[in-house]
Amino acid sequence: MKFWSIIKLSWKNVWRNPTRSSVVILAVLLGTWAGIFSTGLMNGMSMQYIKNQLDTSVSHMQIQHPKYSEEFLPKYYIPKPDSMIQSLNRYDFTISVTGRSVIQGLASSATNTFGVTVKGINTHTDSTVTDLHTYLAEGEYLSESARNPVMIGDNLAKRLKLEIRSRLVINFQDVEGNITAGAFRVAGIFDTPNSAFDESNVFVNREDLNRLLGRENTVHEIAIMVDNFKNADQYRDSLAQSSSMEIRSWGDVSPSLRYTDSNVDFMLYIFMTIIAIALVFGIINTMLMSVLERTQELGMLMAIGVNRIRTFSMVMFETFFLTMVGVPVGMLLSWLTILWVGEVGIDLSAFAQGLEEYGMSTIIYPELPEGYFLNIGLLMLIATLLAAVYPSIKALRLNPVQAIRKV
Amino acid sequence: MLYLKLAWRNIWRNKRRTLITMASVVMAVLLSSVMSSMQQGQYDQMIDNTVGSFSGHLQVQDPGYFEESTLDNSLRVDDELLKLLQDHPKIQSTIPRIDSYALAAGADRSKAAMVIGIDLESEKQLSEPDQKIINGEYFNSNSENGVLIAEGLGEFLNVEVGDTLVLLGQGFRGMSAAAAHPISGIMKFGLPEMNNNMVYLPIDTARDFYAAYDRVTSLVVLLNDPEEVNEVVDDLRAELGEEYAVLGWQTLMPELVQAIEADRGSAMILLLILYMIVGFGIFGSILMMTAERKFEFGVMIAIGTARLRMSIMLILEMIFITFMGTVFGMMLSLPVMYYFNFNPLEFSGEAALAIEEYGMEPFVQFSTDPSILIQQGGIILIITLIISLYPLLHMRKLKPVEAMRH
Amino acid sequence: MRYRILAVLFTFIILPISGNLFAQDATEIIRQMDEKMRGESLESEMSMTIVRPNWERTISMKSWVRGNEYSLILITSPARDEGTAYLKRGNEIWNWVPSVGRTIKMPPSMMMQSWMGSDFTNDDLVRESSVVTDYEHELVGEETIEGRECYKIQMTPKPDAPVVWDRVDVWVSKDEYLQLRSEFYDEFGDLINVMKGMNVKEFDGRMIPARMEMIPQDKEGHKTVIEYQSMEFNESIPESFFSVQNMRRVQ
Repeated sequence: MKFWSIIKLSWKNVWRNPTRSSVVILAVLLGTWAGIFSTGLMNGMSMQYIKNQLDTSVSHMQIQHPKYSEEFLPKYYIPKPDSMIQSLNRYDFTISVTGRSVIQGLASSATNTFGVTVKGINTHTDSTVTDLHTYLAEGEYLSESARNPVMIGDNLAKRLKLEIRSRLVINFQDVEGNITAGAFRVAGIFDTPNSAFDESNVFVNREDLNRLLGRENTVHEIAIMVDNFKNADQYRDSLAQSSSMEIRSWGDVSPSLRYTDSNVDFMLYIFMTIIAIALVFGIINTMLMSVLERTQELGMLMAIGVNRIRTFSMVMFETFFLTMVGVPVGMLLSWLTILWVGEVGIDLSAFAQGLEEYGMSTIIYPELPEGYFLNIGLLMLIATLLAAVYPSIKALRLNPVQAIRKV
Repeated sequence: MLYLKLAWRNIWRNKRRTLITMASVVMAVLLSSVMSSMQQGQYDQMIDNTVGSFSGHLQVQDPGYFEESTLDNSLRVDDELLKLLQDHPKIQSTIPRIDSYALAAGADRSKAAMVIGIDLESEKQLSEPDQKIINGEYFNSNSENGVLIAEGLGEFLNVEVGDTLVLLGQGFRGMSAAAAHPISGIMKFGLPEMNNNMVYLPIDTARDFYAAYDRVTSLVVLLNDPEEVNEVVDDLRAELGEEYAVLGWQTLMPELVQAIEADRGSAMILLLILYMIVGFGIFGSILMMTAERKFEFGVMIAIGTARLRMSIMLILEMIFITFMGTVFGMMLSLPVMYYFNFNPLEFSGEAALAIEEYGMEPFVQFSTDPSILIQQGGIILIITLIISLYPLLHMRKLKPVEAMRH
Repeated sequence: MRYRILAVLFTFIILPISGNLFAQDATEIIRQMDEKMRGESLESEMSMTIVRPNWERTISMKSWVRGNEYSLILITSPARDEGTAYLKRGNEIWNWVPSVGRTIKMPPSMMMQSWMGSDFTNDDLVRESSVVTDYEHELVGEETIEGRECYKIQMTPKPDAPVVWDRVDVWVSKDEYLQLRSEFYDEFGDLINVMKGMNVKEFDGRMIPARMEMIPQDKEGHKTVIEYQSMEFNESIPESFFSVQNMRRVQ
């Protein structure tokens, strides 16, 4: 028998027992689908968490005076911020840049006081760096025409008993180190998924804050969004060569986000291994049954002189054909599922009430970079083919004479 | 009984078929248990990292302290209270602490710091300050004239072992708190917030500093079995009455509970996906088994065996296989769980660094909690039994002539 | 929120010189009341009692004030705190602690700590506010307090003024321009704090309320009471008196 006929025979075998074939195809399909979909889900969840944090507060990179993050004193501002922002905008990887004056202050209402970080923002550029404006629950975004407007989080509003148009007094040090205070009117109240952020951050116009700080055009923090936040460390290093300011990537600013990022990759890898093992085992089982079921038939083949390599190849090819249906369909299906669920989202609120307080949204939108599809598809292909080896070897061990005699 | 015997004999008539089906159940139990044990192990680690080293399993405080954590809401400790806690059979140890904020100053700089009074012996079980010392040495007595300072804070204040650290703050009921102590040692904490903020004083020195004699802000309690927190909390509440607040770590650290809750959501989905895959594996085996036995069933019906009898037989067979599979699966899972408990999966490279920087351990230690086995075994058992309905349905529709013709 | 009260309280500590006044409008009354604390030197002995539901504590101190730029406070009892001194120079506060032999400048992070356990913070000591320029004033009535005829003046903060209150009602005596009662309201019209001036006595030839009580309305059983034992006005205290070096020596 020629090798080509072995392949043809395998193909025929696939169709001879549709039940068995569909079980294997379905197993492979499900495994591939589950592998890709769950990766997308986990990845989506962690990316969502990280992106949420980056978009609303951390941004991709931050530039500050080297001493600022140590003492948070207003006198550690960035010299010549405008030319720095201009030159940052010239890099290819830069998407948007904004400069803020930032102070640690004490927010007081008539009923209470609370320590907050006050960010003086340029409303035009800041709204390209953060998505804070999308979280406005009440009132409106800072406008330049209003006098000393302030945007606060819902948790701070509750703590200080503030409403829209309420007075908020903020005490802080000016650039000279003198203690000063300003009165602001609540223009908007935002409600992000991160309650700690909502409690301790307030936003005002940069001009208003700088007037109180006693120095025009003061910038303490330049926030940058880049094309791919995963490359932030690399961009940081390239920027650091030409600047005496402290440049930090999001991972430097928030080690806990970096931790989440690393942890999820590792967990995904373990989970993929477990799925692959489950899949391999399912396939071994089914193929083994199918080989042992056909003892007689295989024995006959061997008796008429089909050699061992060809028998082995035949079973391998059978599995290969089945896999070749299962894997691509599984990939397609998972791609469609991710696309669809990525639009609609999965509501996890039934499983976890804690999600929102943890800075996560309860609705998860799975997402997966294209590269992963291929990798996981390939992994599944290799796993299934490996799974076919054992039943194929089992087929070789059959003693033709015994095999025929058996029934 | 007859049915049982027959069914038992039946499943061993075709050994390999039974073994393959059983193996798929074993594998399902094994995989879901191992995965669950990994997830649970992570939570245990998170809890251990924070609870075991900082908050303890539960705390006894003044009822006002949780809402307003000031020295004015501290608690007077008497021997009666300590004895009651120490004699409790479920309590491993009681660790007194007195903490508040104070200004820490070196020669030319100062910064607000968390100044905690610790009992030098029992604290070794909690935050392990003796293990964290990178320079200098640990306290020798509870009234020693010395102070331990966290590395980051020490750098900021520009002080080293042997230098004097001045502490200024406010003591109990507004009394002034001022002290100057030589630095005995420098500690390194994983979490940046702690590494930049912590100052430890021997507890009696701290009480003197805060003018809070015989007082603690909290009595941190470690249990023999962390699982029993809620029972012990209820127990102590009943015994101690309104004068004391008894708070479990879940109340003390809601963020930790939330973090775990958040993770449980995704973990649950991953488990569901895994169940789907192993369930399908089992289904595949059973489907093949049914297909193989088509002829046999056909013959039996043809010779006049009642379908009900056959169904009962088949159910019993499936139950045997499933139960054995589940039990073997559980037995097999246990050593795997223990293996990964003793040899945790380690992170490598940058990920490990990032995790260590965050103050977590860069490995995943699996849980060996036996309830995982029972839970996962039970779930797989139910899934398999549901799948086992398939051959029953199949048999009901079986046409003997067609079946035998095959 | 408490610094406003302290500002008013310190009005008493630092202040009051009586003067003739014929002005009628509310702003003028407040200006007269306020003017008494400006540009004068004052040396006084007083005690501060912190009252809490379960305990109370009295601190005795001596204070020297020059205008509103400089002040020095020396604690004379209880024994644990004796010799501790606070020096205010402009916006800075220095603290001398004899038991550790160190002078420490309060960093910003500690400014919000309560001062000596009272209802005031360190920050309250340095903050300046102007009851004259930060508010609009309106004469809303006349009432008798402590047996004295008083103007009742309603003060509303100007839009940009760093004031948390929505409204402050002040009772100023007609004869001596003494601030005998103040009520602080939040935006929802709730009374948050009441400050009372009582026990008007003659010190160094001037009539002054010797006892002041600050009573937060939302905390039952909380109160801070300040009582003067002696006051000497117009002893010109040189600026050099308010130095870090002198803080250690002063008695």
